Amino acid sequence: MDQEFFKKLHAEGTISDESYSKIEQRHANALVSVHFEVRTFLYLGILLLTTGLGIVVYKNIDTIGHQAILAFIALITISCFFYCYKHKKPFSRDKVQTPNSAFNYLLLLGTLSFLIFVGYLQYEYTVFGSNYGLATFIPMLALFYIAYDFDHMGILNLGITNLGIWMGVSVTPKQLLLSNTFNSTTIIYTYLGFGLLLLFLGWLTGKLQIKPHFKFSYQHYGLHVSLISLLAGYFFLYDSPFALLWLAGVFVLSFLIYRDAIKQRSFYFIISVILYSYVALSSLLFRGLTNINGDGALSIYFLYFIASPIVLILLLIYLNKKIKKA
Amino acid sequence: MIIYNKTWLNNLQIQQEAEQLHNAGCLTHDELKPIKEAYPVGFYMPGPFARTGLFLLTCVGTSFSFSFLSLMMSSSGIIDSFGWFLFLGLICTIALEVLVKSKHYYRAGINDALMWIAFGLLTVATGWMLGVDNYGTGHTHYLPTSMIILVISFYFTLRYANTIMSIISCLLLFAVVFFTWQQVGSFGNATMPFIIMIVAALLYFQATKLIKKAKQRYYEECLIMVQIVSLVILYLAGNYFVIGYLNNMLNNVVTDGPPTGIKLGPFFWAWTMLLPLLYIIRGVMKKNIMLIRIGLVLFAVAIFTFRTYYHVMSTELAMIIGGIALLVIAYTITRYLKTPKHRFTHIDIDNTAGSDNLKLEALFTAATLGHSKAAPTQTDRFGGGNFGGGGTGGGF
Repeated sequence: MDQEFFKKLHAEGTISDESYSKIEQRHANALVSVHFEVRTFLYLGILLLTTGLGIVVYKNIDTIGHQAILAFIALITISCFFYCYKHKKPFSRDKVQTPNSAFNYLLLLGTLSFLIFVGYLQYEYTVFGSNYGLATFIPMLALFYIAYDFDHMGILNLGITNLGIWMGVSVTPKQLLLSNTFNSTTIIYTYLGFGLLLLFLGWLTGKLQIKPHFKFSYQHYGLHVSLISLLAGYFFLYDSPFALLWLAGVFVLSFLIYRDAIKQRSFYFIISVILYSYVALSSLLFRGLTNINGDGALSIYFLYFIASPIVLILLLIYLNKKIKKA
Repeated sequence: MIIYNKTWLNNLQIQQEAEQLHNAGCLTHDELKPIKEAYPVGFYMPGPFARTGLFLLTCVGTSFSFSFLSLMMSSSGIIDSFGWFLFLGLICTIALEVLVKSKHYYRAGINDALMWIAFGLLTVATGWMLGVDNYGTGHTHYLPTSMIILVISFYFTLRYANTIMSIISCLLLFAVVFFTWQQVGSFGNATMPFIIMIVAALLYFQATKLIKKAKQRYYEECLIMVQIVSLVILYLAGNYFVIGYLNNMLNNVVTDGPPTGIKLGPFFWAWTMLLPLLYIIRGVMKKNIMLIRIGLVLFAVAIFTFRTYYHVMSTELAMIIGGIALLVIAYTITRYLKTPKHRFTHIDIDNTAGSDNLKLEALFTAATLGHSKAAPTQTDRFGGGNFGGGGTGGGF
């Protein structure tokens, strides 16, 4: 929009003199930001550098020697963290602004090289022995600590995925996997526990107001993991008499998340639980109709899939309006 | 021609502008409110998540409705011709028209889905109509098919000002030029890159001219897309790899090795390597961030092209050098622009990296880097390790 328009608004008295002069000033020395480009360069640079180094190490493992490589990785880690600690702002329970754009990326580089360091130690020297739980537990602790201390959301997400790996490793012993007889319900229960734990952590984050902007990550992973494992449990135990309990779980959990999402006015979570519940409801319908054969059932399927999207669309539009008004 | 209420479109632009100024701290909250009230927008415009959800649901509903309709008609044999798809496509187009007019959907997911389904059905109908009778007679139906689809996509672009549709229109225009010039024969094949270059350059300048006119402001985003596509095509038309590939294809040569018989090789190499730099320089001079971005991406393409034919160093060495170079450049730019110079700054001025963008970036980090760090600690020990990533991918 041209400046004439704001001039008019100013003349009408909608915009104060102070704001108008700010707008004029902004227009006069309109800046072009290369923020996005610089960030992309940093991200790509780190990705390329770490991958390239990884390949070099992999190819020359015989000649370089493990100690030299470990020392080099440790050097990267230490120098990154040295920089980050020097420029770090003090811990706060709220969101902390990062000192500069390079900070986040150096922190990420340091964290990743630390993880590689630990992994390398375990792979080459089996520092943790066959105690794989511990081998993943320590990086996880480090990740969560870094995420909270430096206020880095990306590292928090890495920590959350690592938490899942740790829980998976602890629950399914190596022997079970090697002998190929591992029980699927164990995995499903683990994931359900993992998802519920994340949802609980998200709830706790909001309740205690410690880094409230982290709540989204916990809820995002928690919601998908727990609802997917509930649905998986239902389909895995389809013929058991308790199968319907899993579906009931989907509806109850969806309802709880839905209520919280309405409060938070987060449409992303609302739409997610609605779509999961829709899958659950549809599978319930299929279950009911499997005994009916012939054209009757087919027509019902079709009518259901024509009518249900329309109902859902109307529901979404209604909820969207409700959220915007609230 | 545009279907949306023009006053509302104008008001929408005013509101967005005002909000941008508000975010930048130039307008107070009390000033923003009366502006929004004085220039109301009556569209139904849900957020990105609602839009995605509505899009998916509309696709499910429409496809089941159409399959049901087809199933009912299947015994009469009416669905065995392209006419049935044409019929369904027209129904979809009319439904879209009526819904947008009555419900004022604007980027609402529902209208997007209906538009794409209509376009898809009409494309299938066109391809079927012109393609079926031509089996064995060569590829003569390519030209009329792309012409008709171009007209369809151009109609949708003008009517709904959809950016992706404008990209498709643009690509189809190049397809039409390509197939037309191919009819000329061997002379046409030999001069193909130059014709495409000329058309791309003309298109770019035309779009640049139109974008400045106030009359075209509803199509501003579409015209930007046209600019981007024509700049990329202008580059690709002279890219050595593309030239070699097309050369082999047009002359029916099948080879895995480097292309043979390319005339003016040095010219195309210069084009491949220098044009991206030209874009960047021009972008820096004109303060045009779009040109700079395209130049940067195409520069990466140039490097890949070069590496396809000349293996000067190993991949990992190239990655390390490239990575260090990128970090150094980023560092230098940040240092150089500590205080804004030549109207460039490295600071995020519009504060666009709001909370949502940060969250997305965080998820992206976990998805791209999550595996590389997990691999050494838990290789082969836990089959379901990518579940967390799966959750991200399955996010709606």
